[in-house]
Amino acid sequence: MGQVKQASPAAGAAADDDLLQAIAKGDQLAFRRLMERHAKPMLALAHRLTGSADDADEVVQEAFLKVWRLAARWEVNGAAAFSTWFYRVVFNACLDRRRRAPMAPLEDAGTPVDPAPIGFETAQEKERRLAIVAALDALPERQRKAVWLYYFGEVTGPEAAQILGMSLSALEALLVRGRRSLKKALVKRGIVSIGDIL
Amino acid sequence: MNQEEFDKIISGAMPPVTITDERLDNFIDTVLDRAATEPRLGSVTQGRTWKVWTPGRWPTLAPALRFAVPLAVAVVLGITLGGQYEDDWPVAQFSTLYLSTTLVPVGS
Repeated sequence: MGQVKQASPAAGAAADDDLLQAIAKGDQLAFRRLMERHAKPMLALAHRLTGSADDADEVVQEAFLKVWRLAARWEVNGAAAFSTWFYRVVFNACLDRRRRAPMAPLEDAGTPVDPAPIGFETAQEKERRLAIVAALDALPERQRKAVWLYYFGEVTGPEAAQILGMSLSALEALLVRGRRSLKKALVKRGIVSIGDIL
Repeated sequence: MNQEEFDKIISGAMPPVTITDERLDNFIDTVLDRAATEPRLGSVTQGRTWKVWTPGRWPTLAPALRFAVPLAVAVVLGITLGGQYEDDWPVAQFSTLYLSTTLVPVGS
């Protein structure tokens, strides 16, 4: 399922705990180091999920400021690793932002996220991509989270299950239902193969 | 469409994003600037002990006492006076016994 996020989760978690203890005492250098460790993948994730660099910056900034404010309450040796907890915070914030997206014009709902291909993207390709994203957003809450995380979260299966707070088998069951609903939605929109254009 | 094709269709809807070092540096600087002005709850709450009965906390208890005191008085009066109309009321039995032994009826 996707790429592995951290090569050595245990060592990474211990380093995060040390940094959080220092942050709890107001150590800005430790805070900087924590951001250097996690900001890049989180910004990429948020950019991908929200479809906007500005939204991504805002979401991840708020998440880090939450860490800065509440670091003293972080329980070392707690049940969840910091990276898992933080990923969950950013992921949920991004999906919440997407949920509010219908308030914005349709063009903003699924704006292209990678600057490179935008210039070469045809109107039809863009329309097709927006249709897929709209179908993804229309899934029921739990299926939507599972599918977004699976396809765009760049995490392993067990990590995804931990982030969503469920067992691996429950996640797999959700994905099966999510894919089935999504296939129906795509077929309705005339997308049945890679080369299809609306 | 088969599973592989379906996966490609979905994954293609949101291409991967690359974050440049410059963007990362700007981001970190912005967060640090904001953090410098943020109140930090942790350092304030850590080690704090609650002393409930300090004079400073009476104002917060006052609204509760406005209801609690009249309620307590009403309950006491209800128990005491209510018994006058009920013979099997424990307080009434006590009152009758007490009054009968201490008061001398008028005219006797």
